[in-house]
Amino acid sequence: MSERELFGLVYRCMGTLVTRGDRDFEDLVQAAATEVWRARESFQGRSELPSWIYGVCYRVLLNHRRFWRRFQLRFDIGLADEPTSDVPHSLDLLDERERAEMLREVLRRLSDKHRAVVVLHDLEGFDVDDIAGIVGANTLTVRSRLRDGRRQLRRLLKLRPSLVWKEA
Amino acid sequence: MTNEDEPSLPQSFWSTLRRDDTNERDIDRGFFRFTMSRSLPRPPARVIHYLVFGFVAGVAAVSAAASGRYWLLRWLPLVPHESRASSADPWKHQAATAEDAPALPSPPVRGPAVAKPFPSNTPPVTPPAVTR
Repeated sequence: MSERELFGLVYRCMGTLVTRGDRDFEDLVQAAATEVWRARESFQGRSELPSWIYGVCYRVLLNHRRFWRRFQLRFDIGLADEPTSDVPHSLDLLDERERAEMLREVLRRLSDKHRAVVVLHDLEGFDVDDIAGIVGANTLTVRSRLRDGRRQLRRLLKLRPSLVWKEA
Repeated sequence: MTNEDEPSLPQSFWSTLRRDDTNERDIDRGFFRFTMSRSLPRPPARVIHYLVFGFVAGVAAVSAAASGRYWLLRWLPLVPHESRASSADPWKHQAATAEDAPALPSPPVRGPAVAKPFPSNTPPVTPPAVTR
């Protein structure tokens, strides 16, 4: 696998975990790519490469958030969240890209830990055991986060009636 | 407790996100930034070797130059030395021409010129003192 392909994999994994609209997304990708490059010699193939990269991205994400939280507490930087438009949209009028962006915006409102578990399970199709290995938690914790994350996601989607989807 | 307690969102929700493919140009831009920011430093051990050998060589050169023998200065074009002057013509004063040289007053002549004896390092012999 070339360096470009490996970077693309890191980019996609981080994009799945934090959603690409996040303001720290580019910096997180760079940090995760650096970690992957540094640790790729130690990758022994005991797990799938995407799972390993997801694990690296997840740790980088949590470390970044932890650092940023302390930084904000220490220096009292009040960064306002990006304004969200509450104007109701109709799904028929929204094109695919806008709808995906709004769904990502809803996903961003979940906590990092809950979002990671929900996205890895429901979007990427990992099973609970794999996710437990990626996030470094036991399966009961993963199931708990999955249940709570789904519940929060439904609640957030109910606040946005424009994003109600048609049940398949 | 299983994950079936809270069912997943319908697949139409996730398929919307799946269909939103990543822009390859964004990846290229990020990869370019990554390759430009990635530094390739020398191995630390090699840098330490360079520093140690450089320090030893520097101390040796300075101590040799300050040791009094000045063997290092022989190879520097600062002072003439026999080793470099052996193949060259012997150094001479530039003789002034008769036109440029000012007229020197002639020395006074007082009687016949007597050549002074060649100075020698031997002390003058004094006659022994006469004692009574």
